[in-house]
Amino acid sequence: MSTILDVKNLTLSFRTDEGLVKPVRDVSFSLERGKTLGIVGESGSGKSVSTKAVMQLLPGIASVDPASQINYTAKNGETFDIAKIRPGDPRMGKIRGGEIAMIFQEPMASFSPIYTIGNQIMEAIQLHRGLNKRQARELAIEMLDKVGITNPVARVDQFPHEMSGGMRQRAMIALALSSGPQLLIADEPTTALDVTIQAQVLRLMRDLQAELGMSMIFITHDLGVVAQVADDIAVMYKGEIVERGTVRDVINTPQEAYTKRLLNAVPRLDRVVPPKPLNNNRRLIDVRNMSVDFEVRKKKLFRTEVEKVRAVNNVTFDILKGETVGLVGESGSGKTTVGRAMLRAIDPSEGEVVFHRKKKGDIDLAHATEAELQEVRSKLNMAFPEGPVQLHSLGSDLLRRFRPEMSLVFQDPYSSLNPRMTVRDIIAEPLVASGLMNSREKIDERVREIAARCKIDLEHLRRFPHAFSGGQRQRICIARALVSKPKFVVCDECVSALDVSIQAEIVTLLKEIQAEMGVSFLFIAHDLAVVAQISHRVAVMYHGQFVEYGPTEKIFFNPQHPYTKALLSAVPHPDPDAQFNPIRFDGEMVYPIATRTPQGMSLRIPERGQAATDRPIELIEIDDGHFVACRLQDGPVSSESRVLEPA
Amino acid sequence: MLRFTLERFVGMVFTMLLVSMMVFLIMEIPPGDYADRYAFRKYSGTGVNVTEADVQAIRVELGLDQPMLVRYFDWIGGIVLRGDFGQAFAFETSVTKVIGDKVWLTAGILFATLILTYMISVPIGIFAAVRRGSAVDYGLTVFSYLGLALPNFLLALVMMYFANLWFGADIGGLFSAEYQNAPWSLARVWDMLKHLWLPAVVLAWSAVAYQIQTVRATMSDELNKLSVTAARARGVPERKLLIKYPARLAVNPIVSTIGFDVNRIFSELPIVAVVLGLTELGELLLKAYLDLDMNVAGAILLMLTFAIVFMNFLSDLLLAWLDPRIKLGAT
Repeated sequence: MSTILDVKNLTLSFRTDEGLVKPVRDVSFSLERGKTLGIVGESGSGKSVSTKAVMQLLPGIASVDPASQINYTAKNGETFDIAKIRPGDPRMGKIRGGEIAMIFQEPMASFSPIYTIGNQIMEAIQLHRGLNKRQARELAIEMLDKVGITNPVARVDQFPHEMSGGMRQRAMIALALSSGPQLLIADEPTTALDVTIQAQVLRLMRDLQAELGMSMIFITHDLGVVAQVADDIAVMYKGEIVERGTVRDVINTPQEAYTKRLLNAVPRLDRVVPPKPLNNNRRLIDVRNMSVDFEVRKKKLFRTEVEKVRAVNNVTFDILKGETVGLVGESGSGKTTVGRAMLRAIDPSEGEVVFHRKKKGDIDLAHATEAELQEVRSKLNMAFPEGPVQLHSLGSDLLRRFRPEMSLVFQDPYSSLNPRMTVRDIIAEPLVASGLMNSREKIDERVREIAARCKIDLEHLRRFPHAFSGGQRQRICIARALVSKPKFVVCDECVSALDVSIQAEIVTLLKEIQAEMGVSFLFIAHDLAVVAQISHRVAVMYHGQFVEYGPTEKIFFNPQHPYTKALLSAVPHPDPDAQFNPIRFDGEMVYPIATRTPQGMSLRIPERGQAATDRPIELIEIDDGHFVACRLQDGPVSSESRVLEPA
Repeated sequence: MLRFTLERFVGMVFTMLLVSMMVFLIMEIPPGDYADRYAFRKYSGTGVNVTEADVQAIRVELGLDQPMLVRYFDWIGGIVLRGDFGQAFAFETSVTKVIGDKVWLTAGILFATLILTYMISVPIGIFAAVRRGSAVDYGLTVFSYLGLALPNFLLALVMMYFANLWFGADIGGLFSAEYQNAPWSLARVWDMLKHLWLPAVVLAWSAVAYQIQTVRATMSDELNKLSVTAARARGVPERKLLIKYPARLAVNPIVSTIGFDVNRIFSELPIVAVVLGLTELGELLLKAYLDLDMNVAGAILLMLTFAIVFMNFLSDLLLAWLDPRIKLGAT
């Protein structure tokens, strides 16, 4: 076994406005031929930038410290130090693409939008393989076929924006491998993908690596992914490698404090203890047969055609007081639309959203003066007479007055805070906008109270958001969402953009706040493990419909619907010994058939090609509070069908 | 692409139709009509007493008593079918004669200025973006601000002084004395080109300064795109990479504003023309406004707006070629 890449004492300096910064200090790692090295670390740990140094792709402000060595053994056996090669050296042109290829996190952005996929793949082939245009095209088609893109002959002439994210990442892999590299650097290649697509791409990369005998550096923040793909692992923290070793050693018996902390923070689906279902039936929100249609305008010659797309289809569920309902599903499944329609940020096309209130004018403003309270009460009372509020049919004026009862936390804490407002003004905005409070002192008092609760340093209230990290910003967002003491908050992927350690803090904060304030959450996320940590009940969405819905424990440990099973099997666990055998889900939806038996309900999956019953698909309660989308059929279980075994 | 072209072409014709109506309305705005002014000019100083009946006779004779819609179709029909822009009142001849060569001279200056602007600003803007933060970049920025701040007529004067000093020739005007009234020939065209560069440089000066900044800004954005890094990572040589990926998109904002540039250059033309002793349409337009010679003014306005609309059509096609997303997004 020989070493292909040996990085020694790599130190990088960036010239910035604040002076010289060293984002990578004294980093050493080596990679054996045919092996995979996983580099893990949180954002800003320097994992990405150190591999860019290998490709000489550093930004102009960067310089490599003279003591650094990047010893690379080329295909022809020659070993040289990339750190000492001057830019523009012809050897570098050969290494880039020809010897070392790279794939990136954003499959959207890594292809240029103005050339076809084929054009860009052929470019790499022609640069490194010395083939003519026709041969290059043939090879490009062959590579697209190899990475599992159906109909590659047609796809090769498509533009990047005509493909889905997963397909683009496959095409990117095809591009990277088409020039025949011996080392592949993959920088968070599956982070932007859905979990089922991620599983497919990981498997593809593993297979291709074995087939081509390639070496690989796999950069990721996801310990589950790295446990499944890497042989060795290097943990980076603040520009340094804190721990190195085989995957098994590092994950099973971490030595360094940071590694231990990181491993502890990772939510693990295989070890999670989900919250028990609430033992009350005080419903807060009822969603009944809600559907949302979007209009898609298609420009035809001289006219515009309007097509309706059903984003959410006939969804029925409820949320109890003080409960968290998790909503999972892949991108485009309609999760966000459900959340927004419940808040009436968009209007449901059909169905009802009913907001229950204990008594009329049920508004609790602990610190308001009697006069203020009177004013608010009279406003609310006039607006909302006794009984439940039919949110779906509320007019815009009444809706605005009802807003303080509900709020929303967004995914991206960077774009959801106005950079021109102070933290204090941002948090106070819901109070001001709804007219809930008028006196400056009262608003200040309330802002300070909620900020303290969200663990925001009160000194920071006068600052502007740009000074804060992602986690701090998300705390500000949460404080803003809670300042009006809402009963219901939609958290739309609110921890997805955060590092795992910060993620854990935010999840804990949300749980604490729920316990104190009794607020209900709709927790939308694609990360199943986080959802399992926080949710009392979970709904699984697919193509705008609920396919399974019930207590978290049942959904995650006894899933019944094939889609739920596929989704759960696609999650890589941070356990190098765990079997990773994702069920391949090719988009063709098979609904189970439910039959009533003396014992209760029995589910079976119809055989492929078997005529489906003409019964409509509906959510059927197969167990206490556990609903599965299936077709209900009367009569006994037929012999030729297999009964779903509990997982 | 064919469908896209067709769609845009139909759009262009429709826009031209609307524009021609607006131009016609503008021609109608000044108080009184052609007949009034014709009568005033014809009989003023002759001592003849003009009655309302006389004016009405002229009106009937010229067809001005017809409803506005009919006159509009007469006017636009004459232009489209016969190239006849009507009578120039102040010069007592046809508009076509008045405008004459000036159309081609103006078009020549406009075109030369556009070409010169783009040929200088695009490569320099790209270069400045690639070398961002270098001395060259800062130098170009200073030049840009100078270019933007310097009034055109002043530049024209300065340049004329130096051109005269260095080349000695009579640099004003568009032709040397011997070609002034000569019929068109190759030699005359060459002579025109020799004179054309000066107004083109003067007019291009500020446009270049402005467009360098535009190209530099978009190029800087494009250079930071992941797709550029990805292309670099697959070993595309730097020069090819720059042209193929970021530069193609960086010229986008320039291409989309060709129409504006035409308009801007035309607006700046008269003052430069006065300094350099050129006779061109902008100056004529001003004069026509002052004389209330609306047929001439309308003809020039119409040609200018048609030129802008046509350039916009061209820029649409060019954009669709540069960035296929535009074309695909539209169908």
